[in-house]
Amino acid sequence: MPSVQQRVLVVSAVVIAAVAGALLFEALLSLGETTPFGHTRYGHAAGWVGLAVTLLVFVYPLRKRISPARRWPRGWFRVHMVAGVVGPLLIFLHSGAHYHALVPILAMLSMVIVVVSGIIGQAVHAFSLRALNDQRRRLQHEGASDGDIDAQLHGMASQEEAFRMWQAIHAPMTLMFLVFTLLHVVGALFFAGIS
Amino acid sequence: MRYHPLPRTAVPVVALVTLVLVVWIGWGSVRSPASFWAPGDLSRYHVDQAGCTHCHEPFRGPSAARCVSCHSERYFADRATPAVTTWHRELAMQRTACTACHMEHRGALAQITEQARTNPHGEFVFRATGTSSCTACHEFGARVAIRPTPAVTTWHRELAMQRTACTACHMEHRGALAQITEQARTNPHGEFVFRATGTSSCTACHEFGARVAIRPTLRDEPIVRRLYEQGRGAHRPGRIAGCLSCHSGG
Repeated sequence: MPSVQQRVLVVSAVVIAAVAGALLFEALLSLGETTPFGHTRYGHAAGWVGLAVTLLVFVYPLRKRISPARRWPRGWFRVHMVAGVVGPLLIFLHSGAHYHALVPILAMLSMVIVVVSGIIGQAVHAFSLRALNDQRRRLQHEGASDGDIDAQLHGMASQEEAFRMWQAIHAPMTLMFLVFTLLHVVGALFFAGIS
Repeated sequence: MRYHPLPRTAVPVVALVTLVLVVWIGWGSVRSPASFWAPGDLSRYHVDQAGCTHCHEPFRGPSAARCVSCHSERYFADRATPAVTTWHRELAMQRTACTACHMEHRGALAQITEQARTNPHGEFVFRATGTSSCTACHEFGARVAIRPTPAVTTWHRELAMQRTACTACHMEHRGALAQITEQARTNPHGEFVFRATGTSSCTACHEFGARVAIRPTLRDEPIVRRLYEQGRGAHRPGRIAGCLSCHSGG
């Protein structure tokens, strides 16, 4: 079973490659043009589509809160994960590597924090927690005492506790992301026009 | 797997930080709106404008009505050639958006006109010469193409009717200052001779044939006679070509 460190490296590499790919694609679409792709009508359309896809992520938490007694919405959780990655990648295509105004920069930063914390939660923390529980069960099966188990698993438990931080960041930062995204959209419509 | 409950301070802290940032954005939008909202720096042509709403109508974008408030008929009459004025007047009557050809917020040194001609003298030539436009020294047509003489016009019309490819004589992509016409004559007086003599074309003094490769002759024009007179006292009388022994390259 690969270690948590290996998992972190793989996840980091995939995230960086995905973001770089989106930015490179935007640069390719901007080649030879007087205006970068992100500042064209098609770039703006990519922003709208990215926003629509990103908003799909809220169906999962809303269903959990509206109907807590119902079975856990596994399907909508999958939609939450996919939309939470595809939507932001479309936003990177919309923005390109052109950052000037502070409001969209703040919206982008809060989006990155929400997305990265979610990826850490699902891809790294869940893996670390599962590894910790598997190791604890194995030691209990071998007859180790609770004190011995805690001593042996101290390092893994600390690691899991560190990755648990994603919980304190992911959902609350959504508030900041929504506020700055709204400001960016309203500001863009104010200065560039609605049509 | 069951996760631990969310810390109770998490949401209030994020909400407070968000509120502080929103207040900062509000304050900054009054002090320096471009830093918070503009997609790029304004060009040097518009950087002295007072505010965003000089060009942007709320929720309608950069409207032609805002452009024309500065770039009026009077503005064009004072600064543009009649051909350029007519060109823009026709576009305005057709309600063509100014942004179809003019783009802003691409940086201080960016060109704001689509397909604008690159200035081969560099941007400081305006400051150095006390001018504010290329048209102070150069003649341009309705689109920034050079106005041809009747003989050249007839020559090109015949070639077009014969469906001769333009690239048989004209070559591009050889640099900003390169000649684009095969066997084109290099101006031996240098580019500033037009400003120095108050003329705008080689044909003010010289007669050319249908192909510019033919040796030009001097025209019997007041400008040519004046230059002869000016050359006589300081130098030696005779052929104007003698001036090139000292004044080569302008």
